[in-house]
Amino acid sequence: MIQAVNIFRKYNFNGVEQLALRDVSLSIPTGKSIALIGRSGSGKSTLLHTLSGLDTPDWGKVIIDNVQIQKLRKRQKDILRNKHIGFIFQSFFLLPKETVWQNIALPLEIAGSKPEERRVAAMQMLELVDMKQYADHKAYQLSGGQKQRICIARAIINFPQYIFADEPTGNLDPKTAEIIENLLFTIHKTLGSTLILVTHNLNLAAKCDGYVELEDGIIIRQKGF
Amino acid sequence: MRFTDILLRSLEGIRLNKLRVALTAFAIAIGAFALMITFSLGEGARQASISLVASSINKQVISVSQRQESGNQASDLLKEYSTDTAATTGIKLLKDSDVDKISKLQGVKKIIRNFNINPEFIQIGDKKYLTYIGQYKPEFAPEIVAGKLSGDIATNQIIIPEIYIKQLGFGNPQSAIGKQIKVVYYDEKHENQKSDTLSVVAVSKKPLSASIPSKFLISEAAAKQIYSYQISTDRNKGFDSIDVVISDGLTAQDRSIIKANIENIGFSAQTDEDSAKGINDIINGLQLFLTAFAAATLLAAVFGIINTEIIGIIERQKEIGLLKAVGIHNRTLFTIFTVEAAWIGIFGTVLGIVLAFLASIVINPLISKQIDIFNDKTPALVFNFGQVIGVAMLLLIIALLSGVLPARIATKMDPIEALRTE
Repeated sequence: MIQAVNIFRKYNFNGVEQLALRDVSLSIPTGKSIALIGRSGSGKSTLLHTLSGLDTPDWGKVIIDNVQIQKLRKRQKDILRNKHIGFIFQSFFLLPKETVWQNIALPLEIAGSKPEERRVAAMQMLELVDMKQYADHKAYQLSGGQKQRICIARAIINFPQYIFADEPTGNLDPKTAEIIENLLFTIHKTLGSTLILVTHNLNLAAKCDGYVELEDGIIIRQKGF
Repeated sequence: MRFTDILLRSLEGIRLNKLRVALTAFAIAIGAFALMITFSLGEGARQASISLVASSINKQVISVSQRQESGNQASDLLKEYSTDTAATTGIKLLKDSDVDKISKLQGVKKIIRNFNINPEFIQIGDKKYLTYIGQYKPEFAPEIVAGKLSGDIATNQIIIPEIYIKQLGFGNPQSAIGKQIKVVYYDEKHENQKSDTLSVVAVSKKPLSASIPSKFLISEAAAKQIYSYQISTDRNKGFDSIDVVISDGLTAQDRSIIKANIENIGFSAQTDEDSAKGINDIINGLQLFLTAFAAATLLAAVFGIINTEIIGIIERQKEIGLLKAVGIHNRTLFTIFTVEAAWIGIFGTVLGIVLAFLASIVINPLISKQIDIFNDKTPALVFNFGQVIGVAMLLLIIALLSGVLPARIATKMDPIEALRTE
């Protein structure tokens, strides 16, 4: 379970402090899929980053499986993100000059796995996202939809308990977006991971078990969990 | 993260910025080249000086003079006249009584008095020539190309240098043997002229270096005779220096003891090794000076590495953000970027050293033609393996240190900001 307790997060924009999250509290049960929705600047991505441990709240607590992540040391947070959390980004963030399998195996490389083990694991993930034939292609050679599949494969290579997706279909055409959405939910169900995604797409949000709607950093609506 | 992966990932960073990295590595190469040339030139000069000294020194000889009171420093006070000092230089002269004292020391085999003579000219047939005349010492016997030398030479004999053979009209060295040469000199007041006719006993080979003058050589007795005529006052009882020849078969330690004993009874003593050390000190000083310039070049290259790395980090913010998001440790990230800087240093260093080697192949023959103390056996640029390794290690450390600031910038980068960068 992921819990956020009275979270505040402020940013400094050109010398002016602005609150991106104001007293946000929520509990997301394990295995659920939750969409974070709201207008641009409402604090969705900030909440996603804070819940994933990528960002640290100025006030309040984030608790993952009964562990308050602010109390973890930097190294422990790194291990948490490497082994238990998978990230999917709108802009993919693949390493363009590296091969597809190397991109997928990046979390394993950071964890210190042997190259041959990494390749085997990456090939399994490629099979899962139906891109096995692209293993040795360079990442820059792929289309947007293919890149997002690789991004998903990279996010799940460690079979994480939590998958955080920041507008995973935001850069894709509707048809490709639908394919990626289906893939994402299939994997979520197969792995039993908790899926937390940020989206503007209400159809995608509707596919989730529940949603959280934010406005000016405050939760204005919450449903399904 | 495995170390091999860190190495490969840092190389990947270099591969992404080939041109920029190549230019920075070239700047390092220039620094490495300058350092290598400086060190190899110093080594070459040192070896040449050792070779030069070895060819002209005799370890059995210690040069002795009176201990001078005020060195060579300029003084506001006029020196008091004394027949114990040389006329113009004021150098305290050695007397026969001093020679007696020194000759009684243990380990002293023989003493050669050095007479400073100034002939007016030498004459062969009708032709007159200006030249130096030195004192022949069997212990410093020159290499001979014609004639024969065994021990000392007679008062009426002279050794002539090979390089003047043709000018003097002898055709070849052998034909000069037995020919007569008149040495003409004046007394102290330059009023009365005297001459000695000497017979050529041998022809000496051209010295190793043109900087060593080729001298006509006469016996100690002949030199004393001319010196006594030229210095007619009481001064003729004194001389600038003597050469103390020590007994055969003594060790370096024995030589040091004899030298110390001479100094203990109030004289100044210098071995040829001391002279060589003096030359090496000059070479080391010059080398230090040149190294400072090479170091300045390197300093510029260090800023090049820092600049290249920082630009690379700014360009790769998204990659750094991604690596942080998927859990890379700051220490690993730090290592990747310092190793990346080290790669630049390694490429530059290897290039610089190779260029220095290639330059030596081209430069050595050219320098040997211009400066004759350098030749095939003792070239101007000599690479000492220890120095090559030393330069390589130094540059590697410098490159690693250059990577510290950029690596810290990378580790301090906020992953959220980095991933937001478009």
